[in-house]
Amino acid sequence: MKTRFLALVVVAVLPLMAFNCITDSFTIALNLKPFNGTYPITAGNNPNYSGFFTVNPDTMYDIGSYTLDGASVYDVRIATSGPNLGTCAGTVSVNNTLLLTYNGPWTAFNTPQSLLTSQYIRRNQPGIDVLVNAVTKGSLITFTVQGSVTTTPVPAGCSLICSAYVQAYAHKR
Amino acid sequence: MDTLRQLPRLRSLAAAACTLIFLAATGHSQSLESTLQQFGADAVKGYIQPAGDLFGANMNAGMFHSAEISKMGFHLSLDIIGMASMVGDAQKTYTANAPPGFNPSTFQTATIFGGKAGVVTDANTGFTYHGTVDGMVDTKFVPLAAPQLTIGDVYGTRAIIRFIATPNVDNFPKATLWGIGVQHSISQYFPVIPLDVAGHVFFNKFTFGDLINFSGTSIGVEASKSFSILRVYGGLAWEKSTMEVKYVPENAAFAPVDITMNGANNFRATLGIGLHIVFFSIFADANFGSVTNYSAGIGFGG
Repeated sequence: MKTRFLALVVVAVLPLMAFNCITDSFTIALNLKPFNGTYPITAGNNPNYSGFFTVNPDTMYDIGSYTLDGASVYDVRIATSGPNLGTCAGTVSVNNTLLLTYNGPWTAFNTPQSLLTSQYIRRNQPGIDVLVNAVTKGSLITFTVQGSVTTTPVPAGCSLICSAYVQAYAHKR
Repeated sequence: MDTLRQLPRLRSLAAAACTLIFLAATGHSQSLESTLQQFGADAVKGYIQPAGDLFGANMNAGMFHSAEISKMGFHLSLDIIGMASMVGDAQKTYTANAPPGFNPSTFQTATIFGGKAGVVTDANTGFTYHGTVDGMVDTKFVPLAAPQLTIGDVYGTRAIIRFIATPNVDNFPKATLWGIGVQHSISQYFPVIPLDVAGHVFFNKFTFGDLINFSGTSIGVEASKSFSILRVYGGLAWEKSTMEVKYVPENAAFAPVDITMNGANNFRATLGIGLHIVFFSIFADANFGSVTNYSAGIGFGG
């Protein structure tokens, strides 16, 4: 009997003292897959380019397992691919709201330029807010790029790449 | 033989130990597993390192509570041992890397034992970045329990065996803890020593599904002195524990995670006390090192 009693005490008390303290209400910061868009620049004498890509943020995480509580943008990067086209300048908008402007040497953008550190990119806070709200609400996000280069003709294979990095805050369903 | 007669009772205690380890190791494990799978190796490492430190210290605890080993004779005992490593402030936060380009480049955030995750704000843009996840376990200590069988004595040597396993239940992965070691009397060679002195080598392993793999090694010397039914014991040991975490993140942007972390404890000093009455014993000890750990248990046989 004493042994059984002791076993009961051991079983009952130790778990109560420790691991019943596991919380279910923790928040997870999900680093969503980067929203990547590549905009080809048409070969030829036209120095202007434009394009768009659409992202469904709900496809960027396991929507069946998590409920989003919020989001934040922690970087946007602009990069170019292809030989030197002089200076490139333009805008990136999100759902028709200006997200950022960029203006700098094409070759500098051959190395991705970060909104955090680059002198060639300027952000527009209302665009950041639109992006955050769209991620939080799970609505479609359309990134639109417009710009121009100073050197023509543009050879084949040149493009501009925009990558937005977003963190979403979620809790388990 | 008395030990054998007590087997039905011992089964009750073994069931208790099974329950404990199940709760300790697999409770809410599905949450942990699916949560970890959201992250890459860098984010996970700091978050769960303290779990490795504390669990590793537990694994290397409680394997001896006496150095009294006869040169030749029959010894069989079954102990149910509970271990607990204390969660200190140092185990509640870690220094995480902010995204490239952030100023500052590092920040403090919660480990699995911490509170709310930390947030870093970039000085240039005002962008914010949150730590991986809030702490998931709010506890003052990490427990572990296991049955331990000690068999000897042959040429002053005892074998120590631990084994406990829980099956794959629903979505909880199978968990298995096993350990094996030897304890050898040193004082048998030096009869003039007024204490019993022994050395030990012990290896143990804990696997939790395919996700986590712990292993621990302890090598040390211990001494004990009996005063009637009272026994005082202590020891010094070098130890090593490693935790390997392996999984494929759900986010395809992260590479498969396969990281091995070393436990914080590499040395421990043990001080303990026990009572031994015929075939029944109780014992408790404190272990001091990078991690403070306590173990206690009851034993049958002798």
